[in-house]
Amino acid sequence: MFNSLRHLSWVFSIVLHLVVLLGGAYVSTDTHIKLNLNKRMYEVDLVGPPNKGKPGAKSAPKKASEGAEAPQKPAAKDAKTVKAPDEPKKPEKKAAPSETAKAIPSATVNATKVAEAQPEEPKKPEPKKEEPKKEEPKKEEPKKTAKEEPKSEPKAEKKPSKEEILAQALGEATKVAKSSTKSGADGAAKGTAGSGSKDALADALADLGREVSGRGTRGDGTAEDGDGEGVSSGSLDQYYATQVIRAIRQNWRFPRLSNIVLATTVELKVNKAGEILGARMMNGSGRSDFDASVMRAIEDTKKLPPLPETLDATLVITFYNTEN
Amino acid sequence: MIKKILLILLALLAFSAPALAAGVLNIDIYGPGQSRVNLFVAEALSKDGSGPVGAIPGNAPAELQQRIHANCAFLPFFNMLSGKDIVGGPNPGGYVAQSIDFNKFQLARTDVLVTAAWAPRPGGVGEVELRAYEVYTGRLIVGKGYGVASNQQIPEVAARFCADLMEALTGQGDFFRSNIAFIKKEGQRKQVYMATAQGLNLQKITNLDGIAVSPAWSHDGQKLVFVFLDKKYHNLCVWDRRTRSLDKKRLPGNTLIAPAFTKTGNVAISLDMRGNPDIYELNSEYKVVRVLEENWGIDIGPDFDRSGEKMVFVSNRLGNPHVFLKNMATGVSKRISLTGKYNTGPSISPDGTQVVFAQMVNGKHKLFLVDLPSGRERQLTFGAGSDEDPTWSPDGYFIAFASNRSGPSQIYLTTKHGDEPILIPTGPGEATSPAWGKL
Repeated sequence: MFNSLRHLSWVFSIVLHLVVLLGGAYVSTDTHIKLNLNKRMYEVDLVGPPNKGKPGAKSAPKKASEGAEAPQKPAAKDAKTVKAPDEPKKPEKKAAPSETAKAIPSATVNATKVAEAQPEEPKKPEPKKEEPKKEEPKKEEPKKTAKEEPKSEPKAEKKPSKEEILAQALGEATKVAKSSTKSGADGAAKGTAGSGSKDALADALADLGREVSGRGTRGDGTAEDGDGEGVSSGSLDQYYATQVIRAIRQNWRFPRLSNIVLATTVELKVNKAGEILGARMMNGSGRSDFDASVMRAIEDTKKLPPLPETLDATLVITFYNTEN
Repeated sequence: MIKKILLILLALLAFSAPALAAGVLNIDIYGPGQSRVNLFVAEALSKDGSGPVGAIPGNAPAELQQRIHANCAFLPFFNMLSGKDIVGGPNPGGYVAQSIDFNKFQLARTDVLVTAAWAPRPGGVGEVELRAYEVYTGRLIVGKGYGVASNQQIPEVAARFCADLMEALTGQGDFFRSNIAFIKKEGQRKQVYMATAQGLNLQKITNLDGIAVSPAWSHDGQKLVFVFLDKKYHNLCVWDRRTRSLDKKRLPGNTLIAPAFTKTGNVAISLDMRGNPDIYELNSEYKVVRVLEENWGIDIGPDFDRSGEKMVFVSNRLGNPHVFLKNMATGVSKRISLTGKYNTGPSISPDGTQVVFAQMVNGKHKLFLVDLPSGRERQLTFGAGSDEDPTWSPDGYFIAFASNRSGPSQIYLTTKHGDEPILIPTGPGEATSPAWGKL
């Protein structure tokens, strides 16, 4: 009895240690980078001049945002003016109230009964293929990785790779400020970029505001988007995520619906060059047209920006029909 | 026992290891980049031979195609493609999935394809089968058959099919099953007109010697109430759609303002019989039966949700005109327009969750929308001119309003999402005060 209790306590001890160990490892490795990209993304910090700023500094909220707050000038200050029916004509003279109201239909009668619908579905929906999976040109990615070989050598914490990606993505290598070293400094860099060159910031913000979303929510400052620790790969991943959103979203078409929230999660396999090798629906929305719109957007996108070194070839993307 | 536990632990480790190794990036994408899907309405085919339609009298097939195209083009969630957009030619090759060449439509980024197949019908124009397909999957979205007796029925067929298509895509199709009453200026007079939400089937309802203002439909769309100002008095008028008759009544007080129907079919209206206008409910004899809102200030412009549990109105009790919401069960009213200093013309969505109204911004009225559950307020319309008198569509998706954004006041259409306003053609003359009702 006591013996088994002792064993039990050992087991508990082992379990506890394992949990702590695993938990620590899980947290420290940025494996599950859950990004809330509903916020505006600010790759600005990556474009801006190098940092010298204080960590955590938040760039001031840009006014570029939705500015819905109208500067309302009172104009009509007093409430006496509350809409009244068009200037009530003053009773001036007799004017027999002509029994008018004759409702003269000038056009056709509305044709309610006319074309009666026949048997609902004339032909049956013809069981069609559910979803053409042409989006799997190739299966493996190893092919492409060969290409990336040279790059992967100096990977340690090299700035070159970061810059390359940025340069590619932004298509303007010139602007890339000298790499902001790495690690924790990055978080700071974000803040400082905000205070850096106003023009670059404005441009980048304008770009982003236009493309990344600009939908409803506001983002204040970039620093908060990073992990608290300011892991450089985190911000790079965020930047990459922004690029992914931009690329896919522009190909995504679906009407706005009322009061319905739909979400579809898709797993993408991407090679180092950014080519989408395959897409698998992990969770459907329950509406085939929504799911189809998502899969089609991915298929139409075909290629994403080259994958950063820090990322695996798997992206898990959840598509929401709502904007927030 | 212990071995088992150790095994479980090992298994746990084995499972978590790959997770730790993989750098999976999770991304959320909120909202599509384009809220319009690409739609193509294919040329009609003959049901038997799959060739062009030859045996159908007149040009009914072409007219139906054009009508469907026009109807869909009116909606803010379709981007209409033309035949030129389809590389390889617009002919679908067939009208059912098995025979349609979806590939070329997919290459042309078509999302929805509409096909029509006609067959002659003795003593009538013909029978037509209309289908809408989701191009990516080849799935049938809507399939309907119609017997067409005369060419006059073509618009009706198009409207019905579009209503079904819209309902399948958005969950609501009442747009094509409703119409809009509005006030049209004719010289010194103002008359009540109505038309479909696309501006079709325009009809003049009144021919009064004076000014008609503030029309509002009953919840079932069968009665229309408005105020008529003749040379002497304000009158309450109720027009019956079935009988096309008009009731005209004098009410206590000098001023009648902005009537509306309650859920039960009674009229609510602002009367100034006790000084300031307050809101009263009238019975079927048009007698005041109860006070709906009374205050030292001005209370006008009532509007009710479908359940009749909520009433919105405008009051200046706090100094400036603001929109208030009254819980009809508890009798408690609270202000819901939180910004601005001049908010008027509220309309509550049929489901009672959202209120749209006009707010004065820099001297111009703009539409704002309040989401009642969250209390969030946002601006719906922008640009030049004033946007006023918003009214909800029966399905709670669209909003019609009057605007002078491009000259004389006309009726425009937007959505609860603030989509780019579309002009509803109502012919020459100023058009104001739209009221949206069921057919």
